[in-house]
Amino acid sequence: MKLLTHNMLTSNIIKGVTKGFPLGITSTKVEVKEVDFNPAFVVKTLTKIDYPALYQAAKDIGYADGLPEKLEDNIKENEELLKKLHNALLQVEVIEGELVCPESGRKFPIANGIPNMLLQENEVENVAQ
Amino acid sequence: MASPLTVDNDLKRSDKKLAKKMVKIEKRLMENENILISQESTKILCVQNGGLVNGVSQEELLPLFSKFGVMSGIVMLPRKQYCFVCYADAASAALAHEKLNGFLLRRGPDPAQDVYLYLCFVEKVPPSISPSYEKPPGLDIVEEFVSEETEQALIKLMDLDADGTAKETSLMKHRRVKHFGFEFKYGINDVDVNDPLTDGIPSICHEFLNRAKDQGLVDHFPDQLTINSYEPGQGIPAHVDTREAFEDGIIALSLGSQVVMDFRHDDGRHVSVLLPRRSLMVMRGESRYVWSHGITPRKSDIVAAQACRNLTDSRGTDENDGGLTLQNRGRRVSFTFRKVIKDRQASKHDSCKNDDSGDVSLEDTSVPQTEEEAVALERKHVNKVYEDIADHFSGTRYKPWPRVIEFVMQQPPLSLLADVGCGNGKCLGANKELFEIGSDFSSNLASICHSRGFETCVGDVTCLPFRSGSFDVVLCIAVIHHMATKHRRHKALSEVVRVLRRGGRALVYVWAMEQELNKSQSKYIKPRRQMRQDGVTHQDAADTTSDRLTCDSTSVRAHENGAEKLVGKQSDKVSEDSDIGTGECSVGDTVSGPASGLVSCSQQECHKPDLKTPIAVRQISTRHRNNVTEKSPDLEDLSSTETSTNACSVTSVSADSSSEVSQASHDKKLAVHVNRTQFKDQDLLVPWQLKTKSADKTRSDGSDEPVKADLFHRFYHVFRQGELEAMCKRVPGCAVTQSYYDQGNWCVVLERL
Repeated sequence: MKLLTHNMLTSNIIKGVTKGFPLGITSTKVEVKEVDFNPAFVVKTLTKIDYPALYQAAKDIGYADGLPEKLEDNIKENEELLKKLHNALLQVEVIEGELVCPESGRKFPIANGIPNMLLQENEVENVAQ
Repeated sequence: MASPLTVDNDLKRSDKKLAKKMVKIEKRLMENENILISQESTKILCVQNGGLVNGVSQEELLPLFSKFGVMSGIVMLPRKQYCFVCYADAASAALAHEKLNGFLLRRGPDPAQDVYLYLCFVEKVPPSISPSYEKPPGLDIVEEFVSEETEQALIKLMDLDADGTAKETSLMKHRRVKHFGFEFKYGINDVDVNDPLTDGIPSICHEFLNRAKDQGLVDHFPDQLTINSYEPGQGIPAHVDTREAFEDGIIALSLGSQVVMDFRHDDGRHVSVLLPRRSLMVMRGESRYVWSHGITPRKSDIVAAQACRNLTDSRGTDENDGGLTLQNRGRRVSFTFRKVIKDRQASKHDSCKNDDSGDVSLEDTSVPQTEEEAVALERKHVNKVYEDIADHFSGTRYKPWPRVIEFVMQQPPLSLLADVGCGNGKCLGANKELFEIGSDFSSNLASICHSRGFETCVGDVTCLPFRSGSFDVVLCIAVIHHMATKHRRHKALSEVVRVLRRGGRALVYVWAMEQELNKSQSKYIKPRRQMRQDGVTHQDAADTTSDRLTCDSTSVRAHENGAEKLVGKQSDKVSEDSDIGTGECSVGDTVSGPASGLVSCSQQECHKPDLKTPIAVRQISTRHRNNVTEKSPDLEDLSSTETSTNACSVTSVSADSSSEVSQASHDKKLAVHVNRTQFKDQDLLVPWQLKTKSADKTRSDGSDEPVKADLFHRFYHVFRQGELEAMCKRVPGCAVTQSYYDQGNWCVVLERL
């Protein structure tokens, strides 16, 4: 699971959980896999994601080195930073670990790089039919 | 007495007839078995009209042929009208030939049953399927499991007046029985778990039962014992021990006499297994759940004669080593030990083991009326099967559909795309300018998708684990039709829209009720021949693959077969996807027909191996839920009451007689679809058959039919024209920008407003 994916995930599907974001991460195995650097993609993606959540996630797994807590406006010109962001978004992968719902504490396993977000039936909000 | 002249004429005529017959036999043997008739005497006789097809048994032949010399074997082949009789020496065979050629084996009251045997010499025999060379999977025979002393002590347990403490025995029609631990009630084929007998398993049994457990023959210490006493000539009808009643791992001691037990599989396989005296039979897995077992009532069995072991014919009968002899049965006492399942609710999970026919899973399958029922149905008939067949499934679908790819390629660079219900990820990776995430309910499919280098998570389309408004593009291909209620389909579609950002687009494909539009048949129902005429090649056809496979009770059998035995590549596929080469696609199952070189899965072929009843009448016990009506936010009313009632009317509905209303429209049974035909109902179970080639070479009878056939049923709700669009209208913020029909699918491009 890349941290960009993590940035999209939420546990608000759990009954009673309202935001469910960002999910905490505990990792026992992290790998860094090289991905072609595309500065335009990084810049564009940063407009779509929740940066504090990315930062926190990178910190959770120990890959926040060199990442700012807050993003400046002029990141476009800062290739070095863009590369670091690229690394955090696309190259770092949590292979084994857990995602943790910030509200309920419910844990979702990450195994072989795949987070399992399935819920038990009794955890799901059943909209009245 | 006829005059000599007449006799001569008769002889001439019968000689001619015989010669003609021989030519025919020769041809048949050559064609079927690749066996040449020998003009010289050999040790082996082929006995025409002495085959299983003629109703002739080894028991009938042995006494007849053994008069002429020492025999080393009789080879019976399934579905053949000949057998092979092997002698220790050619002289005996020659003598038998002389005496028995043209022999009238029997003259019954019905002349049609008369069997004339015609004999010829052959050099070799085909591989045998005779007893004891093959066993049903999961069956073990442990010889000499108890000592003779223990045997005698155990037999005493059965005898009424042995020491005055023996419990009552009951006389069954064909045998005497006695129970310990729990009484097995033959009326219900079960025990009463709340009513144990005062006597548990006798202590004399504890030693060897512990031994069985220690040796790993069973996982448990049994708590129920049934003792049967069989006099010679008595038997027990073929049966499978009640699956809900007893755990896997049933063991039986044979005492006092050997017996041959017959195991039968629904696909026609029949194996006779010798249970020697003092042996322990262990039935587990397939042999316990799938094969029936019984004892044919007769007074003797054909068994290998140890004494004749060295007389084996060296030219091909080594499998019959030891020769055969007819052994009389004595009084046999069997001790059958079982472990009662006490928590019957929990054991229902195992109901997948629960069937002979491969289809017991359909028992409760009706159109779901509540969310709970829908979820349960989807778990069983949509979600679960992926886990079991994911590899094969994935192996059969690697080509995305052209119009889906076309859509993906049109998306602006740097977009974020989610493919919900991504399967093995075949729609992913085409557009390198996108960042894509796949999600699927099946973790096995998700693993495959991930292993192909795609970001993947395991998630449920009715509650997607993605933030609202987080994606530029969403694909939802062949997913929503697996949701079992309108409400859940609506929910899934709402989720697709929810995770899209404003202005984001989604492509949704569902299988169409209409497989023929504007007089043009979809590939799904188009005959293969026509497709070929239309330029669809073999390879194209092979690329069509099935999409959603659903697990039901057959999953265990699929397991037992092992994934590696699942047929991949070009064989045995039911297809559901696109022929990329022709630009056609279908979400539905196109079934590869024979014309394409694939194993056909027409109605008959699909069902015969596993099902005893025709599809139309294969319906499912009825429950009444007249009070429960689905009130979906999805108001478009395109329900299919009329068609489904149609489907139901053919069925023998075992309605609950206490019910006030006998035919309620709400109480629809799910119809089982006939592949490659128009849909008769919107909610249905679509059969998908997985055929696996025979693993055992013993079935080399010249037929190349597959031996194993696993039948799966997927739930589908096929959409009527306009239904998908109507559903979109009910989803807030969802605008349909394009809708089309693509090879049997209804498709929409959505935009989030």
